[in-house]
Parts: sequence; C-alpha cells; structure tokens
Amino acid sequence: MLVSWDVLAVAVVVLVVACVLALTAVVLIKAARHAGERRRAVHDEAIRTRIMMLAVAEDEALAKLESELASTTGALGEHVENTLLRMIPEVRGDVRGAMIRVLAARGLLSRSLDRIHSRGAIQRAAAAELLGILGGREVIGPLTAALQDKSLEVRLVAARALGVAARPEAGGHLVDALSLTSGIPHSVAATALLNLPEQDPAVYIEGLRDRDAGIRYGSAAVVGLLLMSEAADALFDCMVAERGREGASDVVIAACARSLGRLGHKPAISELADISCSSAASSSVRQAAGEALKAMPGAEARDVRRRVIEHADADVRRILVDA
Amino acid sequence: MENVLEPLRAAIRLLFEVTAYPVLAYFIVINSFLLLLIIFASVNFTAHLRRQSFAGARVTAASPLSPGISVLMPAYNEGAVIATSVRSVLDLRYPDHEVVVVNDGSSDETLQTLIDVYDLVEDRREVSVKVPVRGTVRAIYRARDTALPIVVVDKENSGRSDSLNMGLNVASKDLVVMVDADSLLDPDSLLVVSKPFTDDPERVIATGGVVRVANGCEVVAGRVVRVNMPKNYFARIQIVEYLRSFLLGRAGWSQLNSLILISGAFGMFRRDLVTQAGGLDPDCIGEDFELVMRLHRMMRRSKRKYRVIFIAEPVCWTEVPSTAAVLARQRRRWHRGLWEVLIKYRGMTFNPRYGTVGMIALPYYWIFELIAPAIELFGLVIVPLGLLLGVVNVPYALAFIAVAYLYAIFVSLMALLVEEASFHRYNRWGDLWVALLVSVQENIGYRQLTAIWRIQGWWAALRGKKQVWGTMTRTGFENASP
Repeated sequence: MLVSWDVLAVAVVVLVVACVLALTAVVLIKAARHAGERRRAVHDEAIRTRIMMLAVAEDEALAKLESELASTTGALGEHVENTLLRMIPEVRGDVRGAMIRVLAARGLLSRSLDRIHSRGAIQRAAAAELLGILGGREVIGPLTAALQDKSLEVRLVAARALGVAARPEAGGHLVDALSLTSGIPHSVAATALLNLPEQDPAVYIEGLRDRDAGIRYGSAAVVGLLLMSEAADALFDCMVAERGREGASDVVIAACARSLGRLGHKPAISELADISCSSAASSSVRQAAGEALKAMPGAEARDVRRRVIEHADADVRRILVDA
Repeated sequence: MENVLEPLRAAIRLLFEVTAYPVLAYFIVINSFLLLLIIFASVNFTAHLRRQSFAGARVTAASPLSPGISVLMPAYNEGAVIATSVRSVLDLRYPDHEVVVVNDGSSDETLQTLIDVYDLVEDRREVSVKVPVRGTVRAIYRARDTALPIVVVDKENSGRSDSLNMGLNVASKDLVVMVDADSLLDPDSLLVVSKPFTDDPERVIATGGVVRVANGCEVVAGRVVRVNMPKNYFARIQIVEYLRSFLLGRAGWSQLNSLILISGAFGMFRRDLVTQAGGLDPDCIGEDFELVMRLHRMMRRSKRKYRVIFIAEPVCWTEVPSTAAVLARQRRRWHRGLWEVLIKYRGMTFNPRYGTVGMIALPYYWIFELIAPAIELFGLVIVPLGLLLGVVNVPYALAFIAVAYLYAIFVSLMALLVEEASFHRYNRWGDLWVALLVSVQENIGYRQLTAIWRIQGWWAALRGKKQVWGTMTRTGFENASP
C-alpha cells in the first residue's frame, strides 16, 4: 500500500514549518549574540581605563576608584563584576585585594553567602566558587559547611574553593574531606590542602594514622609535597603498617613511598628496596618505591639501587638505571 | 518490448507498494533518533556550559596531584609536521604530561627531524612488554635535556594500532591520550578532557574529545587561532556532518552513558585498563571503536561501575579529506571498520547484560549506521527506475523524497541551532549562510555518494579483501604560519 497523498502533504508542510522555525531560531540566536558582543565592547570601553587604574592608583585615588566601580549600576555594573571575576585569577597582591574589595562592596560576598543555601546545586556550586575567590575569614564557615552538601558537585567545588581562599583554619576540614565517605576526589582535597598557609604537621601525623584510607593517602601525599620532615617518621610507620594491613591500599603505600623519596628519609631505604622487588606488591607500588629509591641521596641508597636493579622488574629497572 | 516491460513495471509497482511505508518509516525513525540524540546533547551542553564558571581548570593546571598523562603519537612519514606537532603537545597547559612519539618505520625524515630538533639521545634501557607488539623496535630515544618529557620509539612499520600498543608499553603516566600527528590541539585540551578523570577517578575509564574540521582555519605554530569556513565543497559539507553526527550524536550517547565510539584523533583512557584489555587490536580497521567496545565488555562482565564520557568542548582539530578520492577511501574504511566491530561484538547486541550499550547503542549502529547506506542505495536505484518505467507519479515521488530529505535538513538545522547556542565557533554571518546552504546541499549528491562508498567498504569486508590504508593527501591549512 502506497503512502497516501494526504499524509505526504501534511508531512511536507509540517517539516517546512519546522525548518523555517529552526532557521529563524538560528538567526535570532546569532543576532542576539552579536548584539551582546557589541554591547560588551561598549561596556569594556567605558570601564577598561578605570579597571586598569586599580593596578596603579594609590591611597585616596584608589579609594575613589574603588567606590566609583562599586557604585556602578545596571548592565555596566554587571559588566564590572564579570570583568573583575575574569581578571582576579590572573592577578596577585594589592591589585587582587582592590578587585576583591570592589566586588565585596558591590554586594557579591553577601549575595554569594545567600546563594550557597539556594535550592539548585549549580547555584550553590557557583556561589562556593565565588566565595573561594573572594576569600576572607567569613567564607570559611559556609564553605566548610558546604563540604557536607548533599550534592557531590557542591562538595567538590567547596573543597577547591577552600584551597583558593587559603585560610589555615580550613586545614582540619579539608583533611576530613579526604575521607573515602566524602566522595570528594582525593586529588581535589589534597590540592586544596597544598595551598593553605601555616600548616600544622600534627594534623597530618594524625591523618597518617587515621582508619580511613582516603585520609591516609591524602595526608601522605601532602606531607611529601610540602616537604614536612616532622612527619617523616609517621609517614614511614604508615607505609609499614599499610603493608601489613588486611586489604592494604596500593595508593596509600605508593603515596607514602613517593613522599619518603621526596623527603629523602634514609631509614626507609631498605623497606623501599624490599617493596620495589616484592612480587606481592602491585606494579604501580613497585614503581613508586623505585622512584623513591631513585630520589634518595647518599652512598647507602646508591648501593641499594645497584642491588635492586639486579632483582627488580623491567619497569623498576628503567627507573633506577637513570639514577 | 512492451511485453518485457510490463512484468517489470508490475514488479516495481509491487516493490513500491511493499516498501514505501517501511522506507519512509525508516527515514523518519533514523532522523527522529538523531533528533533525540541532539536533544540529549543539548542537555549535556547546557549542563557543561552552566558548570563552566566553576570547572576548576586553573587549579587542576597547577596541581602536582593531577593524574599524569602520556600523549601517544604514532607517526608515519610526518616529517613535514612532526616537529610542530610535538612542540604543540609539549606546550599544552598541564602539570604532568609526556609525549611518546612512535615512528612507524617512516621512510622520510620524521625520525631525523625529531632527533635534531629535540636533541635526542639513544636510551638503551629495556621496555617491559605489557601489551604484545609486532613491529620490532630499532631504538628508543629521549631528550638529552631530561626536563623535556619526550620519548621517541623508532620501530619497523607495523601500522597505527601496533604503534599505539608500543606507545602503551613505553608510557609511564596513569592516563594515555591517543592523538594523530597531524591533530591540532587546543592549549587546554588535556585539562578539559582529563577533568572527568579528576572529578570521578573511580568510575571514569575513557573520555573522548570532540574533533572539528581544521580545513580553512588559520593555524599558527600548530594552534588554530581563527576558525573559518573552508572554501572546498567536501570540507564544508563535512563541517555540518561532523556537527550533527560526531559532536551532537556522541554527546547524546554520552548523556545516555552509551558512548561506544571515541575518535582516534583524540581519546583519553586509563592506561591500566587499556593494558588489561590488551591494547588495540592491530587487525581491526576500526581499532578505536573496537577498543572502546572491548572496554565496555570488560567492565560490564566484571560488573564494575564505569563511565565513558564525551567532551563537547572543541579540543582537537583535524584536516578532513577535500577530494572525492580521499573521502571515498576514508568512508569505505570507516564502514568496513563498523562492520568488523559490530560482527565481532554481535553477542552484546540486544543482550541485557550489557545495559544500554547492548540494548540501545549497538542496535542503533546495526540498524541506522550499518544498514542506512543500503536503504539509501535501494532508493537511489528503485526511484529512477520507477520514473523511467512510468510506474511512479512524478509529483508523488518528489513529495516522498521531500519528506525524507526535509526531515534530514531539519535535523541538520537543529544541529546548527545547538552549536550556535553553545560553542558558536563559526562566528561570522557568512559562515552561517554557508552552513545553512550545505545543510541542504549535502542531500543532493553528497549523501548518495557516501552511501555508495560505504556500501563498497562493506562489500570489501564481506569479500575479505585486504584493507589498504592509502594516503591522506593533505592540502595543508589555508592560513598556516610556522
């Protein structure tokens, strides 16, 4: 049975209308975007000089400039905020401080503090990001609370934001965020920890003894990257204990090994040699131990490396031959 | 004569009566499916764009804890571009990445160029064989300056897949990216494509970056700095085709967690899993597709939770064929690869054990990707024959064809709409008019040609004809600067 003329005619008409509508939508979106670009160019022209002046103005002139930018209203005011937010990650020191003051004076801080309690996860995450950029003591409470948010995305952004805000009081909360139960990727929470000033080694020594493998892993990684020699013994103990643990975590052993290598902790040499040749250890753990051995200074390490080369697998040998 | 034609007319008439509805339904369902994928893709894009303000790329870029990436780059007679390609990869914004170039027995100056430009010295250390390789290694080189993270493996010619397997053995980082030597990467491409691994390290096993058409673009030092519409007819049509099928189609599949194809020009994988899966299959034409299917099968069989993600943000640009001959070779190869992979994994099709991959994605590829050119070709033969024999009413035939092709044009327009609302890389009004024009143009001639080429590829596979890769004749970029 052939398709009837009526069906074909209706289908053609419907499709032509749909095509025309789609075409119109494409044209309208493009026109709107081009208009937006032109408007942004005009706004850029209007505020560019004043924003650049933030970098060089001093005292009263700076205060006046900040006040001018803070009191700009309407679409231009919104453009000031967007421009400053785009620029802030690129600048440091006094200029960054001036930009943050302008944003805070425009009410961005209070708006973000409100928005972090929004119903939508995306709004909460965006607010957490802004709070991290704005920094200061008052953002730490809401951001640490956001580490317990029901949305993983918000928790993840809050952890990163705490690193950007870089306040020492966030340390303990971020170590807790390393826990496997938090769902926050270890690399995110640990990276945030690396940015914090005035770190207390005791927090990490405790972390290395924690029951949670995520906390042990993060603490081990951070201790090595921050070259926290006060925690070297605890790090070594953690690695030894992990090897003997039922359900030992490869990533914890590898992180401990790498950090011991970074710290050049000589008492760990023989244990690292044992791991690098152990058939019980996974390939990644053996390689981490090999890298640690490679980084170890001194004659003892050199001798051990020579011995290990004879017994280790090809991957470890590749690493050690370099040393 | 009339006595001979009459039974033929009757047969054609019967054929029309039997197939009219199914063929029309097929066209409507295939385009509706594409439309559905575009809708899923727009959900994916909206989510992606709404998260842009807190993507955290800057923090990842500076973190020593970001997972390391080995960029695997097989090279065969790429002497003209290899130094620039490697430089552009070394310069990518990422805290921990290395480049592993595998010179696949090039007969040109590829290896010597690398040795000279990067001051390479022979590295005599052994390599452990985690994935079996066929090509014999002649030598491995490293930069004299150990701070330069480059390894070059010189081996006998054994093909792209085998070269990538060699690269896997030499790679030392947790993630591997497979790129072609002529791919042009955006500076943040590694950051963008590795982000899902950072955010969900337990479950994400592979990510695919979107590959866009580089023809006509302005290229400076291996980077696309200005996106233009190419002047070449074939290249222009492929822009719309890539947008519709690759960008939006794959983003849609990703949203359904059923992405089974990651482009060989830019795909990122967890090295341990690729190694565990045995690397790439050197005997398969669609080796990238085959690898992703093998990973799906491995993960589903072991009941592990996992995700394969497509990143819609433009990260990789590649030169597409601009002549009919090269395009024909490419399409024959693609279709042959599709057939080989679908046959190899036929046990997964309509198998609930493999979830949406088995129940939706694979059946789609069988019905709407593999068979589509056969249906198209059937129409190509039968409609003119019907017209010639006076069996078909001309206005009726035109209306029939109009329905099928208008729907295809509508789908292309929707793809342009989503692109315009999201990434809008073609900024000028002129680009839009050209894109609109080719959305219509591709239905006249191009579609039919590609259908014929795809059928040829399929036929060659059925006959077991040996596949020859052929040479991708590169015309270079219209506005390239060193």
